[in-house]
Amino acid sequence: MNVQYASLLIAIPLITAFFVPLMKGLGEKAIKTYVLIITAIQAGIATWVFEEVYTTGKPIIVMAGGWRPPVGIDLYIGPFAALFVLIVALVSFLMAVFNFRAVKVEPIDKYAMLFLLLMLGATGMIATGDIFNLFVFMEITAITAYALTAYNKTGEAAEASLKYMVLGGIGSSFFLIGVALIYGATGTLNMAQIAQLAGNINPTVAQVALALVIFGLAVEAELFPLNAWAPDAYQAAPHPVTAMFSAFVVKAGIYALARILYLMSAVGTWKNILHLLIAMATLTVIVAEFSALRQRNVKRMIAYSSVSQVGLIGLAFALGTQAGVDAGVFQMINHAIIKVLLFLGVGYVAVQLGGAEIENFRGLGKRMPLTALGVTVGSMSAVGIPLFNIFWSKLRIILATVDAGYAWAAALVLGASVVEAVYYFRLVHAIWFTGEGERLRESAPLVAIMLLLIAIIVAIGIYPNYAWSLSQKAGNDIFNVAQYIKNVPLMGVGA
Amino acid sequence: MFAWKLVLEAIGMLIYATFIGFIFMGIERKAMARIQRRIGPPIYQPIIDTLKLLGKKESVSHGFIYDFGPVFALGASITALLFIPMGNFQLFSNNADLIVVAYLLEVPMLGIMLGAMSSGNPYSGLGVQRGLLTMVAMQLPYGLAIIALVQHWGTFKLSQLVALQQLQGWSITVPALALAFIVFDIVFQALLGLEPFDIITAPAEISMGPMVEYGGKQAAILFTQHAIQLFAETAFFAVLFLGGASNLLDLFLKQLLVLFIAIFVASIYPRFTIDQAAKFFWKWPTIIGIVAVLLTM
Amino acid sequence: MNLLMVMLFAPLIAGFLAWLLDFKVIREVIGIIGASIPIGVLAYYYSTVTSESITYSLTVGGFTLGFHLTMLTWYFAVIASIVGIAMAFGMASTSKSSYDWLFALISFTGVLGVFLSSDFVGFFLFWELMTFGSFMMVLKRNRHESLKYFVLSIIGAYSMLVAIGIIYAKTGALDFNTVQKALRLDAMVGSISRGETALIYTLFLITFGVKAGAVPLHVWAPGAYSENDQSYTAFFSGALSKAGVYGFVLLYILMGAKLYTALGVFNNHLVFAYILAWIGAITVVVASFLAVLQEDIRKLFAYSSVGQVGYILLGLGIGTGLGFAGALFHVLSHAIFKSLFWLVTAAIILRTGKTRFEDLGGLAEKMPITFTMGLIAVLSLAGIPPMAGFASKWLLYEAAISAHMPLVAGAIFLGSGLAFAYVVRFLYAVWFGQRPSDLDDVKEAPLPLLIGMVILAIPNLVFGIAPGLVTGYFNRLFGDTIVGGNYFRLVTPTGTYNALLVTVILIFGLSIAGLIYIYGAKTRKIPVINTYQSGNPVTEEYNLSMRKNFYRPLAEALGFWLKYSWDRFYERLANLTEDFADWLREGFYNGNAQSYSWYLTIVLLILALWGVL
Repeated sequence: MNVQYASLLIAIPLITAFFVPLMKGLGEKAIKTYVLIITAIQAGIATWVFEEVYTTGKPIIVMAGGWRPPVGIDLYIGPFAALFVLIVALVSFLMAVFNFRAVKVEPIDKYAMLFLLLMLGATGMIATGDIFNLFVFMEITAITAYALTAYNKTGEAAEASLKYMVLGGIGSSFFLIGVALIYGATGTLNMAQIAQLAGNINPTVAQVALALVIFGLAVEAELFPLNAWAPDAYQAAPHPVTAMFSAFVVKAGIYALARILYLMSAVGTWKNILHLLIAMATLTVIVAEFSALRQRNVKRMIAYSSVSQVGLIGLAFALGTQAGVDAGVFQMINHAIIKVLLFLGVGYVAVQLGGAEIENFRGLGKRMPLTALGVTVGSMSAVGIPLFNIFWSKLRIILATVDAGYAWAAALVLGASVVEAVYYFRLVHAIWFTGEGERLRESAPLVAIMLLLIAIIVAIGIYPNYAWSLSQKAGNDIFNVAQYIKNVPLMGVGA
Repeated sequence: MFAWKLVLEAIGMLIYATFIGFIFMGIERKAMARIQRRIGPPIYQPIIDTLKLLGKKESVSHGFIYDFGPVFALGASITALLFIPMGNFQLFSNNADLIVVAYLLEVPMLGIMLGAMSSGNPYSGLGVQRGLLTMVAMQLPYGLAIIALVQHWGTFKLSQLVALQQLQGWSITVPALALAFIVFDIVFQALLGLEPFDIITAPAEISMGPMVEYGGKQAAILFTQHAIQLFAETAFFAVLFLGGASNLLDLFLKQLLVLFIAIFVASIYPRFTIDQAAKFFWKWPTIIGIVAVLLTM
Repeated sequence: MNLLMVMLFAPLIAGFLAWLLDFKVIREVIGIIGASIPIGVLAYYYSTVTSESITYSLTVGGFTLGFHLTMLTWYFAVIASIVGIAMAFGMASTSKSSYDWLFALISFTGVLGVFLSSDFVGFFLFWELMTFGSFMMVLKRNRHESLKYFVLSIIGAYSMLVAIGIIYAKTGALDFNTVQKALRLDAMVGSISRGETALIYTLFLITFGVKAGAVPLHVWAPGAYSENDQSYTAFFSGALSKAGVYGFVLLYILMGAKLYTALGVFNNHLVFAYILAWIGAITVVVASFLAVLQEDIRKLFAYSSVGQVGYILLGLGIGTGLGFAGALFHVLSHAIFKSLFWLVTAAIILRTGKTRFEDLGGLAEKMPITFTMGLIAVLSLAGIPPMAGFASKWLLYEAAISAHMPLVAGAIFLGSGLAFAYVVRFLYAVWFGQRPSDLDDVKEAPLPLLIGMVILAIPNLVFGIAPGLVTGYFNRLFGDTIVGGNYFRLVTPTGTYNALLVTVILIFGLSIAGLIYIYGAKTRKIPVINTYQSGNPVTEEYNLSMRKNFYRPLAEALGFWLKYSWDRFYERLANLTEDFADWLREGFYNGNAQSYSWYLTIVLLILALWGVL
């Protein structure tokens, strides 16, 4: 099969998204099924791409219209992109299942369209090899995200969406200015070529450009102090969307950040940027963890936790070492899995019991034992208990952080993790050891999904070798810029 | 190969110690009486008392532990006794270690407590409480005195302690150990249960405390135990600070000296309550003890 | 499949199966089998381990997890396994919950893993696992206490993680062998600065101090030990707290030379060891005082446990071979007598449902076997020769005094007096005196629980009469004669203790006393309430036994010190943290889009000031 078919990853959701309005008359079920099928197809293609990339060990480079970069825009599906496109597709598929339960608000056709576009945007951000194209996909992601945040049509949702929009808008414009500066300095928008030329840029220009790009992306990547929108948006958005935010939208942002950061690693003042990022990431973790401590709304609490975990990923990427990047990627995988599980569980409880307040979780162990098990395993994993997956990635991150000479950052992050343990275990206690209730029927597909995710979490927890080797390959894809440049068949223009 | 000689020696020493112990008890009562200008009982009175108790036709029991307590206490006292070097009778003292003997000397107390507690008399309970608290209070200065001693002589073996003292002069002739001696002497008052630390038994108040329920043969066993314990403790004192003894007479004189000091102190001082005793022990004796151990370091 | 791994994971798998197959009897049988495998494997390896160490390694997630069974780790593992079996038998009686089995056995595997790991990753992993298992046992019963335990433990664990990270950064290695070599080399070279060494030391001190319950990090222990299934507490306090002790031993092995050169010597004592000795001494005194003043059996033994582990730390801190021998011996004796205490407590609670001294009394007649077991534990803890508890304490005395640490040795004396006081209190309030009328139909403890107790009682006697069994093992462990003598006789350079002789003479003394008793007049049994009451008997309804505030005079004497409490200090700290969290959230995530925009501006300003200008 021709590897160029990988472009279907972008094409399918884009085309199918715009067919949704045509199905409006067929009813809610049909539309949801449609989304389910599309995401399944997407997942199938992503699996194929993943297989292809990891068996050949070579990245798939899709050249739009057959033009070689930098003239043509290329998609670069290396080990990292292949892995994360797969995760995006799988998470979307699982959430498409969850849609049947969780989304009742009309107009469902708009929701379906936005849902597919969100998946598309994230896929594009991860796969693209062109910095302006990245901007475009980021905008697609962001705008669909604004709309989805407001989708529940409540006052809070509208407010959250507005905040998100304001911050996101400002962020994107700064990103654009940064891109413009880079373009001005290098004359190219292709990432590989930027990397090639990065060393020659005037350091001041490079630093400003990089700072602006990071500033812009930090909004999407939820780094302190630009993440103020996140808890509101997470709480207000429909449950499947929240899971998607946490599992891959924010990851796409942080990936973009890391990718651009390492592309520009030849810039003289690169280390300064790293320091800035480390400080931001550390503060992200601390502030978010403390904010979650007394949170009564479990969904919001997990949103804070998500923010802090992403801060941890940011910290790992900001270390500027191979070990750090590998650990960061590992954490990205693990975090995606557990946050899907948690938001799925919490969302399901909110749907069944009418809200995600902590009161509804009392006695959950007796009312919905399997969902409760899912939330519990997710919580324990998030805390970093051995036998669950996050343990390994957290350990890797901390070792890498101290190894890179930032023992203080590691200490602060760990200090904040103590707080995390407290609020998660308070939740676990509320679920199992307080309250009473009749057992409710739990939806079989959702329970199946949760059990699957639990199995993956424990499998990685007990035998992390495979996931770790994937992370190492993917991490190398980001860190080893020279290899990246070599992989992209540049035309040799302007070099 | 059974060490008949050793066993005979041990039994002989046991009989001697019991007898002398009773005499000491008699002396204690007599001397106390004379100081208080009473005539007092004859010094063999405790022996008569014990024999009388043994001769009772029937004794009562509150259960197995109630009987086991005194037996255990007497057994432990005998054990402690046989480890202390007595002049030319070394008995088992070449195996005797200061810490082991100090512990063995405390074991009888556990036996008495066990028996007293199982009796169900509130006075016994009170006596147990006071006894243990006194022990807690005195433990620190007691320990410090022993530590000072060991640090100076560099050995835990009682036989070696005696030998070294014979060679280099008694412990109390060493300035630092003289301080330890003072501390030990204060503690000794509590070890013997004499004023000002006699609140454990406080006859007029809680009717002999732990012993209140005992009568008949159990009381006789306890009396015997007390006699042996008295003998062992005075001997222990003599061994630690007064250079041990080369023969039984020497030992007897030293024991008598120690006993009289205790009696004189006891006759002068009124009784401490438990918290007063604790506060007292943790103040001057402890400070002196610390000075002593620091000097011998 | 490697036997070492079978042993390590058997409890974990058994726990999981017991949890999954939640049927009566099957659950218990699986649990007991799982808990007995380790001791079997260890026994099988005994002859091998004395000549060479057994190693095994796994590759997990890019890390090589090494395991080693050396003489030292074998010793610790055996102790944990003995207590583990006893726990399993106890739980078969006291716990009816598969949840308990799962987490109890998880922590069992965790403890074994901690002892067997030969690299920091495995060590940390199993450390966390054991903390987690024990934490879940408490979480079920008391949220507040469990979180106190978990927060302190996890602060400890994370301190260790940072320390491991620093060591990794400096030496590039995570396995003990390489780290040891590198640090030993560095002791000469000195590339790791004094400050960094002190930092690593402090971090480890926190880690192991928390687990061992060293003052002032002990505050979790009373709550966590008492709010638990008491059979599990036997393991918790008997074996799990020893992980902290093992950590300190490890610290010596890995960093001893480095710490010596970096921190130097004070008054002929290694500074780092001296600190440890003092921590131990303070722990002994503070915890023992608090134990004396408790009004609840569980709290009493919890504090006692803290205090007894203090002895072990003290012994390690002495830093001489004798100190080590004493400390390691006390690890064994504390494990067996304290676990025995907890099983006895479990039996009492199971049969009466009461935990406070004021509600108990007079049970010796109703539960004679349990009482006997309790008495053995009391004798051992109070250090009555010839019990295991005395042998180890004797070594500690000798070590402390001959190492010229008089004040530390003074703490042992004081602690022993206090220990004597609190065990007698336990005896009195639970077993003797007038029985409250609602305890009249109390039955003897169930069979499995009794089996558990017997498993623990036997070593108390055996190692008491033949302490040379243990010290002989130490001699081979150290490759040097630390404590001479034979099976029954211990000989140190300055002292000697012949356990068999003491036993024989004690029996001799007891038989003389017994003869007097037997040949005396016959006895008549009278009830407990028939006592001397100054001729004015009190009627039966009044319970005359002193159960409440038994040691009030002591509390009065200590009035000044009791005003201060570490517990309250930590509570206050926790509240401050929570308030700070609220303040942070309300200040930062205030829901106001305008202030969010301001954040952007501020960051931009910072960027501008710092990057561009």
